[in-house]
Amino acid sequence: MLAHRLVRGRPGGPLLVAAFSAATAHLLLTAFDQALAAADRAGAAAAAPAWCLLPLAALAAVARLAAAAAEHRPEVSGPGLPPARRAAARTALPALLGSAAALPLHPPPLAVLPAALTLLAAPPLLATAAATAGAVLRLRRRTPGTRRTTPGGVPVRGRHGGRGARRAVVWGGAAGLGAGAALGAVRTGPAAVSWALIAAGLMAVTPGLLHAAGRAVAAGTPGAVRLLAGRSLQTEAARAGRSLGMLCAALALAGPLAGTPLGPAGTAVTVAATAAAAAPAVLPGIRHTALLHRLGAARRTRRSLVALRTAALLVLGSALIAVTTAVARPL
Amino acid sequence: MPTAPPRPGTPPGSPDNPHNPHNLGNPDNPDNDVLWTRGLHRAHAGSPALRDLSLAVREGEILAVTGGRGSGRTTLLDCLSGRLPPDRGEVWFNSIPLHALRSPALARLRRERFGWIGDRAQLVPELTARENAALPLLLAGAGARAARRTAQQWLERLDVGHCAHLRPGALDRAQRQRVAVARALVHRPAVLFADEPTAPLHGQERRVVLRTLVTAARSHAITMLLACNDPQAVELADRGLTLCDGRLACSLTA
Repeated sequence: MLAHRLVRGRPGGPLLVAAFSAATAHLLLTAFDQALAAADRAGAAAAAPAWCLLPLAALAAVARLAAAAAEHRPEVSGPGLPPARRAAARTALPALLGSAAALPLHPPPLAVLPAALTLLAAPPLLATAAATAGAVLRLRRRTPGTRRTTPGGVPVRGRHGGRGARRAVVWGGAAGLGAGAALGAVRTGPAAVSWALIAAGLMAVTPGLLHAAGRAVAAGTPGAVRLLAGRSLQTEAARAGRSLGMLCAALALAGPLAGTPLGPAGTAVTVAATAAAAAPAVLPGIRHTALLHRLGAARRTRRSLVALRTAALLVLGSALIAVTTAVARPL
Repeated sequence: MPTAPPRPGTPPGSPDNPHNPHNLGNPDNPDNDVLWTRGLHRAHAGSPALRDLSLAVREGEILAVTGGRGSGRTTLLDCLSGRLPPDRGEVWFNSIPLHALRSPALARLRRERFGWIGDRAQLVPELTARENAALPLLLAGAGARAARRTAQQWLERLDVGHCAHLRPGALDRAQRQRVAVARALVHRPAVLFADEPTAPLHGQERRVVLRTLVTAARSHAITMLLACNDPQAVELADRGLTLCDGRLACSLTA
């Protein structure tokens, strides 16, 4: 009972996980129904469930978010509820319940009952596995003791990680993006490969672009608004950039994706889950609110700060979406 | 005596009340009180932090506020600087009633007339030391170049001029605290609120930072409210007050 109340603390994460698990399980079941109907043609039968990997990946991203929310509760970890169990309770349970809720919508055909029952058990398990994998990945990345700090005890953010390494990632991303676009242009190979290259390229390139955008915003001798907005964009470039790249890829590929066996509904679920997973990193709100209040920053200053930041993100995001839409070919 | 509470039963607007700001003709009321409060009461979630506190701070004075944890020192500074609205009572800065102002006007006052140093430096990690020190001027809309120049001068006065281009992460605690002192003084505030400014420092650094702060306040005629439990601070101040459970326990004049 206590565990239940502790887990329930903030309902947003688990509810999102449950809702997206229900939708994903429904998509998977529909895909399996289609596969059973077209069991004589092996290629067509496998295509639909394979496309469901996309919403499953998006679900894992949402679960990572829910696990992150579970981390910031020192009052709970103090008494000794381990974070892994808390994160599992916040993701695995809602995922299981959510995907089980999709089951009654799909009555198993009587003729193939044993096979259908096996298949029926699969979507909740897959959805739960995806959600839990997302949560555990998050926890593994945040294991204490792995963060580099300066002598002052302040975490170092990829500064000594080598500008060279960062540049390599950006160039690699650009190469991926170019290769994906080229594959799309010459219309050889499966479109899915071209899309995957484009999406991975976007996620690799966007942090660098966002960092550059931050530098541009704070160029010269900026006043308070440009200075704070530009520097916060630079600081958050790594995290916000990846999420922005993911979001742009999802939005740009939504059109072509609707034409695949995933269908418009599946595309909508994938895009919505990606947006839910990306939003907190892309829009983390205003930084240093307490300090700015303390120093008496005018409300207008704080609003301009948010507006400038949002404008920079919107300009970069829409430019990326426009370019990607132009190069991504339909299936 | 500026710290004398008003005589019981005296109405606030009466000419007999030494704390009536309009009562400039009364020889009992020194008209150089820059900040004063009367019957200040403030509770945090039901538990009272300040109870019927009355005090006045003269212009250019350095007032040390001592008292144990939970005695209401921080709450007092927060109420006097307009960060926390009082539950009851009045807070006046010159002839401005802080208890009756709305938040934009209070923010403007904090931005232009008040300075603040906390028990941690609380610098913005993504800005350099110079930009951090220039932040109050930039927020007040001063020219970007001039603000940086002034900030650099203050950093040099506080012996951290050579760290101006570094970010807080690359500075040690004493250097960070000095940058915070520069940030508090850069816009020449009328009143400086220092809440345990030497808390994160060791003995030697503590003495140096405290002395720098007091010298800067004196040479620029800045009124300072210094909340701390450091005996050195009380020695350096003009006057000391001790709070106990949100009430004035005693008042000492150096």
